[in-house]
Amino acid sequence: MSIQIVLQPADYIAAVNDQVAYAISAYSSDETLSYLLQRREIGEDNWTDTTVTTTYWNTVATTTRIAREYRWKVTGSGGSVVLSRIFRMYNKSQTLTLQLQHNNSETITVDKNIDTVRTMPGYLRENCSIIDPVFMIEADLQQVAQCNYLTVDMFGRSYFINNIESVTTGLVAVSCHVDVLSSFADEIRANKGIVRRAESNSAFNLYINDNSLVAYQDPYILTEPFPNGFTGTAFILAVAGA
Amino acid sequence: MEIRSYTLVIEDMNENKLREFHVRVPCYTTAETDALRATARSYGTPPLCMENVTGMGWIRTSFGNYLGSDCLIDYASFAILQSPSANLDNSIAEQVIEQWPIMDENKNLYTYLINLPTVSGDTEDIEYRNFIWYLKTKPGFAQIKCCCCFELDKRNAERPRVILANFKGTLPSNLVKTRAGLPVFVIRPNIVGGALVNNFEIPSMAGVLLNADTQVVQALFEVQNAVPEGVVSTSSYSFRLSTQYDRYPYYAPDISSGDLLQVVNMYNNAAGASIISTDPYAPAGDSESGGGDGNFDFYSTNIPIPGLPNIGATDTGFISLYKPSAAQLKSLANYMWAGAFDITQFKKLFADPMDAILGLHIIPTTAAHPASGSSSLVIGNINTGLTMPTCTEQYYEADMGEISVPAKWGAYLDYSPYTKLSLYLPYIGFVPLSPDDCMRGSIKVVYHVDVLSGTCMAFVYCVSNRGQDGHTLYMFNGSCACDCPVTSGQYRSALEGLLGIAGSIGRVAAGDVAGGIKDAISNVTSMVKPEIGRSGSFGGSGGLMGIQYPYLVLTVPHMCVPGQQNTYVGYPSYVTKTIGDLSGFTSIDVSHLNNMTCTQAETEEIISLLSEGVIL
Repeated sequence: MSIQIVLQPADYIAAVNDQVAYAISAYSSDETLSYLLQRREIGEDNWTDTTVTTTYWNTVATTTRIAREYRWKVTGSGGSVVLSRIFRMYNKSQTLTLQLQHNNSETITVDKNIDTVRTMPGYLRENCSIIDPVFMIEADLQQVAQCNYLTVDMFGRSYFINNIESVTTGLVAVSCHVDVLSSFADEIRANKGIVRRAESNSAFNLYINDNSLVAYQDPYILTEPFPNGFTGTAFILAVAGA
Repeated sequence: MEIRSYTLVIEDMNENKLREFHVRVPCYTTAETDALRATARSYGTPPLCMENVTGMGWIRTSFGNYLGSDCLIDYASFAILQSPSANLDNSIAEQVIEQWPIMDENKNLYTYLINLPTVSGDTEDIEYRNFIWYLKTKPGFAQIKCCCCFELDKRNAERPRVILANFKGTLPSNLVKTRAGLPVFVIRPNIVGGALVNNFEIPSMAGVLLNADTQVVQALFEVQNAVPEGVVSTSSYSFRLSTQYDRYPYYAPDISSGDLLQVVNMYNNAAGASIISTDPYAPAGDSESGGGDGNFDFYSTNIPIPGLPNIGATDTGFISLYKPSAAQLKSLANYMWAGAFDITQFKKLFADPMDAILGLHIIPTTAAHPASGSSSLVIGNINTGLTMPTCTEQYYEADMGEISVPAKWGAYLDYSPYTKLSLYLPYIGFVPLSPDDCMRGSIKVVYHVDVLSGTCMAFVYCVSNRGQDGHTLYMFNGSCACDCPVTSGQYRSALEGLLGIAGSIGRVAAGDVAGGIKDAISNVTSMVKPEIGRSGSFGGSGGLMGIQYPYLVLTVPHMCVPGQQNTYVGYPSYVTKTIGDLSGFTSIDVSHLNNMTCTQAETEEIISLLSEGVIL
């Protein structure tokens, strides 16, 4: 019978000097199991064996360890090998206050109708930009699922939520894209431009050709008579002589 | 010799970076300025400095120095050596110092030397040589230098001049910065005594920042070998030009250096050679900017409806016009065919009594016209003794009045080609009008009628909406006389004339009337039909049966406008506005945004969103 991992190790959001613990539980009916913790630097392909051979790893987060990924290697006495999920400790060094919100307006609206659902602490995942950030939030998925918008005052930006991903129990990754219209609304309004199309009566001019309009095939036929006309007739006789 | 010195103090230069300074110094005529010499001094390594410079107008040149870590440039001085002149203004009107920390700490400087062909000639005349070369580069910052070698076999100690000019400022097309613009250098070789070989260098001819994937750089130098006035020279010379292409890291972190990939081609053209040999349109010259020289006076002079002719056939005394009633015509007929008519006396003048009846026809009238008096009817010299009204005017005017042409949509749809106008004119038919002439204005129609021939002319006077006087923009003529034959010959002629009436209805219209005339033929021949074609022309008896007043026919588009169209896509605007003054759906062309704190990528996204439309 093959080896089954009963308990997968979870991720942690950890600040330096935080105590974290990664445990694994595996089962095999006919093999004796041994455990080995492996690590690699983020972005690398190859794994390195550590000296940890127990089913748990209690450790203190350090800057180095935050920059690594880990996994358990479970080996049976018969030679079969099973690997756990890859886990890591996310950086808790910069705590952000995230306003998780619901946007009721169209995405192209500058002044959006926003309902703030809740305010929670979150952390910016490494290697992401301020334009397309991924925030790590210690919350259950259902606490975030109804939100499609969030604001980070520290960044001076609001974001559309593009995706919400459950990393592990109690930890979600929220992928976002900056809402440039709302984030920089005041600066945009201070600029000038040539208005091409406008909804506002004060800006549009209907005497400019508009190719977006179409017409029915039955035009209006209208007549307008002039007020005067010929009112009678007369014979005209032209004769020689005067 | 008067020496005037100008000093520029340059501070805070204690960095391990290459610095270059650009200094503009005013120069005047060569007659007044013997030479302009600028030097720069520094602690440490002597700088690359300006050579002797003279010329007219502003000269921009540069000097630079590569400093060691312990060097400090604390000042640079500029001196003008000149002969005293009351007309010379030695003030330096402008001093511009631009710092170009263009070297990285590793002092990387990559240099490519490109030798251009040698030219030879004599020095009797001013000659121009065009050196053209094409460099294919990577994007980034680069600097092109030019090194000249001027070999002169000239015993006269006078100086020839070599002018290197016209570094082609128009290239590359997306050039974002050039450091030297169009430098003009006059080089005085250090001639001493007899046969000489002089080498001199012109540093920093131009620097360009290349920002495309590949660039082809083209440059042109005009080499002028000039002999000063009063100096006769028959010596020969040769001139060799080498180009140095330098690239080094630019100070801006996002701009790389522009590697030289390939020297594509080199030319050493003879005098007057075309600069661009690869462009077949080059002989036509570069395009020119222009326009905007209109006088913007959109006032036009009013063209009124003309008055009636002041001369007519009745003025001759050979013809008389009467406006008889039907009863009076019957009395005349009775008289003509009764025994009272003295045919013997009449035949002295006419072979046939009916020859004196020149015409009888029916014309349309108004209440006031044609005016009439009353007198005895005289035919030839025979007084018939019958009294009937006379026409006192051969021409009369019938004013059909004026109607306004309001806009139905209040939009571009009210104008051509969307809205169509046609005008029905009695005795003429339907004629097309341009709605552009009268929309949101008015139309006035006035007829001039010749009661003798039956010719009528309709004047269409249009007033547009621009608050100016109107104009007579259309004139149409036709025939409003219905001939009444009084002899069998006239009857035949009337029928024949009816069939050929279209040819007699000429129209003098501003628009295209060829189609209308063709249609007139078909409509006249089918005049018996109760329906009158809108594009037809008719006159005579047909006109008598038609409507006797003009009317306008508008064909207005029936638009299919979805609800809240303006909310979803807006309407055309094309006004410049502050974005904050707008509301609702708006799309805006913003080529650049000012005072934004966002990143460049975010700025570009904002510009894109504004262009596609946002809700403000």
